[in-house]
Amino acid sequence: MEKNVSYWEEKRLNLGYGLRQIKNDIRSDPISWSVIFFISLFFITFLVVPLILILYSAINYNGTIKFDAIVQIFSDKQFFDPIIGGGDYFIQIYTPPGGGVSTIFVTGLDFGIVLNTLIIGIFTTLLSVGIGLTTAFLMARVNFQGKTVLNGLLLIPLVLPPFVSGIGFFAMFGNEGIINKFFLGPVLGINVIFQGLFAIIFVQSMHYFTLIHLNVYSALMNADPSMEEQAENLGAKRSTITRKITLPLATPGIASGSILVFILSMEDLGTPIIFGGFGDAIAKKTMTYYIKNNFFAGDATTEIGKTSAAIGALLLVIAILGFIFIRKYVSLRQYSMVSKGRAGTYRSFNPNVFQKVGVYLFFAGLLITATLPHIGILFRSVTKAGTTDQFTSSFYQLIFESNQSQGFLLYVQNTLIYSFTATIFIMVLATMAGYVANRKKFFGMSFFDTLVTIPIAIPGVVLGIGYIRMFGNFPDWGIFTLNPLFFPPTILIISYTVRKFPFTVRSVYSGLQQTDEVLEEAALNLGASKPRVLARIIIPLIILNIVGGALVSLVYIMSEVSTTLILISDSRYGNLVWKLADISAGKLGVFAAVGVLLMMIQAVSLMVTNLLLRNRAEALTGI
Amino acid sequence: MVELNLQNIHIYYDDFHAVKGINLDIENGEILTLLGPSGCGKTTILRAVAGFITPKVGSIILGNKEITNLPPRKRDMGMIFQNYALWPHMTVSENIGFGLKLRKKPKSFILSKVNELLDLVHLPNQGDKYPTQLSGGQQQRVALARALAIEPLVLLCDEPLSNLDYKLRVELRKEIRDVSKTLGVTVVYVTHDQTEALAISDRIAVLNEGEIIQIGTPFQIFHDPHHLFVATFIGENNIFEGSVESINSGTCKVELSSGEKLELVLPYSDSSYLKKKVKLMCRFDPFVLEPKDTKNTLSGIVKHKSFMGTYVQLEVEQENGNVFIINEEENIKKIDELALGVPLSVHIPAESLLMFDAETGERLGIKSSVEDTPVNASKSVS
Ligand SMILES: Nc1ncnc2c1ncn2[C@@H]1O[C@H](COP(=O)(O)OP(=O)(O)OP(=O)(O)O)[C@@H](O)[C@H]1O
Ligand SMILES: [Mg+2]
Repeated sequence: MEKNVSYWEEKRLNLGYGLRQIKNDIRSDPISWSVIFFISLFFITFLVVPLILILYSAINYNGTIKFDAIVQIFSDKQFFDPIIGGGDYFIQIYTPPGGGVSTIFVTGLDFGIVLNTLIIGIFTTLLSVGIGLTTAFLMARVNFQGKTVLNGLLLIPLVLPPFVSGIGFFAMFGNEGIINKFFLGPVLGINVIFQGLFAIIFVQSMHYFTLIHLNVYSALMNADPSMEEQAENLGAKRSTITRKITLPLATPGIASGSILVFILSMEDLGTPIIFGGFGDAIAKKTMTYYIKNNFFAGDATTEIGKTSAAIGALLLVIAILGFIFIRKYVSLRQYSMVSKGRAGTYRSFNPNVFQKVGVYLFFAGLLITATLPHIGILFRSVTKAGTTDQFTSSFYQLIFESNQSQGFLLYVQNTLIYSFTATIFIMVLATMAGYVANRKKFFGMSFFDTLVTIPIAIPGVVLGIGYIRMFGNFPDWGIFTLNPLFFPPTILIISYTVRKFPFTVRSVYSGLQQTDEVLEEAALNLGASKPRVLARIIIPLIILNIVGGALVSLVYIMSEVSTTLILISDSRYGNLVWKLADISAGKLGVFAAVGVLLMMIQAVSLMVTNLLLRNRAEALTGI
Repeated sequence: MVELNLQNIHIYYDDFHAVKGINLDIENGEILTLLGPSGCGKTTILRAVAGFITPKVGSIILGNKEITNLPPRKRDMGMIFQNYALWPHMTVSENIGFGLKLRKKPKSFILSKVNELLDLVHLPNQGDKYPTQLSGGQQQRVALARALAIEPLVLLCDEPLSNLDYKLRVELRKEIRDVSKTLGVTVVYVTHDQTEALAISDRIAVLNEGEIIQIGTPFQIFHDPHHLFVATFIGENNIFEGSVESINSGTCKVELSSGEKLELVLPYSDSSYLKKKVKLMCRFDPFVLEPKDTKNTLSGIVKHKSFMGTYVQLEVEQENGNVFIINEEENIKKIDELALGVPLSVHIPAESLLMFDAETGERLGIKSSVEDTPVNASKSVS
């Protein structure tokens, strides 16, 4: 009992002390505190409140709290169907009645919307971790030639967001795809078509393994080499060292990376939309797809449907729990290396010839598989439909010669306007936020840290319907209205700003960590004002981090699918991603061309980022 | 019985010749220190002994076994790193017991051995903590215990104390010496801190640019340096430039550039010394103030004076601008009251001067060799 009292007493005293300190600091540094205040206000308005509204919508039935919708998504067969029934198949062979080429469908089973999504999340994570761990370990600890090239090649999957990758995948493996039509069909007399959960998991894994790779690779490269040498010195074999020392030391990177992949995979709307567009029925049975197509309660209302709200709430809870876990894990067990100096370099494993061949085969196989969609999309964009040798530039012409007021050029223009505006907001706000988060060590600042970094884990569809729930009844004030049903761009740009904020703020933060506060104090001491110090001392020192982080944000904004699709309600305001979601088999060529354009923009941005930021992992993965 | 031999070791980093033909015989139970300026190759040699680097030329022999190409894990050597290298995901006990576990020792044995070691390094009951919960000094003690747990034939230490503050360094270097003497383990110790080297070692090998300049007991290294490099690297000195004027039996006279003449004791000499450009070296303390006779005296004016507690340090400037330093322990009070600018003459005892070839830095006046003093000299220390 006594212990309890003193515990709470202590808490109370600490709280009082903390608040007093803040009060003093506000007086001496009002500018930083107004930044904290306004950025917090911004994130509470555009992140916390809309999400709470969705949680509330899921259980609020005209003022009474009921859990009907929640129960529904765990009991209704459409959502939750763990039993494999007679109509389910994993692989099915279909032979046309009149004879001809048979088709093998590899689909994966259908377990209902909720379970399907969980399965996608779990398997994508497992596969990504398996591949990413292997690549990171090989690159960091095994000696072989060509690592510099490989380091670049391994980023290729990142330049193609999963949904564009889906188009490429279809171009390769679809029933009209290059592989089936020109190789398997003619040669073996069969077609193989990957669909459903199987296809989604495949496409996602080929993208997300890079996140694991980057995280683990940087953990392995930054760990102190003497940790491993010590074990070797005491008699441990390479395999023991890996198991007992290397992997445990990389655990925070592995854990946080996998949770991020799990969340991103479940909240991914792009891949299901693309496969759905090509007529894949099971791909449509995912949580995000359901929300996207059913979020209004009825045709003539702007109210959010109960089931969509419940599904959104479930996604949100999973994401938030995951994020809390990442934070706990990374901060508690982040081995801020006990040691100071750094002795020697890694003693890497020298493979024998056979092992070396194995390593090259592995990378070759992986890279070929991972880049097949890229090749497919590139190929489809320059060849006439149904051919492999009749080249054409008509798809690109269609884009660039289209009418500015409605065709593709409009979408290109909108894409650029939205993404650059949001990126500029992010640059300004994230620089300020990163600065105060780094320099102000007060009680309650961890709340602020969480506020500006958690958006990375927040499902876009949920935030999107949250905005509709919150602003859907606002009047039409032209460009100032936040109501997406009247004028989507304003709220869309805000959603981009919120969602892609963490990449820049992380980058700024880590830049500041490396600049000594003394530099700043020296300037303050000479009589410079705070804004002046920021402008003349701090920003020049961390400009690379700001620009690099902003570029990463830009890359992810341009490929942001979920809020885009939820919030754009009118083709006048459409952008490229919005247009791509309108995909169907017949429009493959021109869509492939759009995909190639996006891919090139992303590749250039990523290359520049890579040049600017050497510590790529935290910048590119945001954790 | 000689425990560890390095024979003609050459190590290259690509084209860079980092270690140039090192020969070392380290006795069983001896603490040998590699001392030298930063970048002289100390770590490189140590890592070659541990097996992390394979020398391009030369061999390493432990007992009677050649181990030059043996992988590190088979060498049974303990190592302590400058940065402790404790595994943060294991407790103190797990860190210490790691090597024993690898050797498949029974649990109960490991437990008692770990506790024994924790006592030995003065960390009883700290076994369940994680390394981050320990201070720097405690962490280094754990690293010591971990290295000793496998009862290594040789203990390798690479500047183990350089991350610690002065007091802890003094305390821990005593502890490392005591512990390794208790266990009778052979130690190769790397440092660039001369005081540490003098305090901890049985013998010191002074290195420069990948070569051993001199090997000897701390006493020999300090008082009988065979090379100007060793003399200036260890301890503080005055250097006087001059040339040899005459040689008598057992002594010689040197005319300094300031015009004064100094006589010094020279057990061994050679007619080729005549007219040779030399450098004379003298520590700060053998000076005698206000000498009665004028033999071996230097004069100048007092330029600086610092009271250092047990002695007073005077900086004396000669007419030609040459400056030398005197530490005076007697008559402190009187000397402390000396005014700056007063003229002063001091006597240097002939036996406190050492003579070096100004060009090569070789010591003159002893049997010409950089040779090791007899190894058993080290025995008496322990
Ligand atoms: N991995 C390496 N590649 C190339 N040169 C190296 C490497 N490691 C050390 N060197 C060079 O070899 C020389 C000896 O290095 P070593 O680390 O042995 O010095 P040290 O005596 O331990 O110095 P310190 O007291 O600073 O630790 C140095 O000139 C260094 O620059
Ligand atoms: Mg060193």
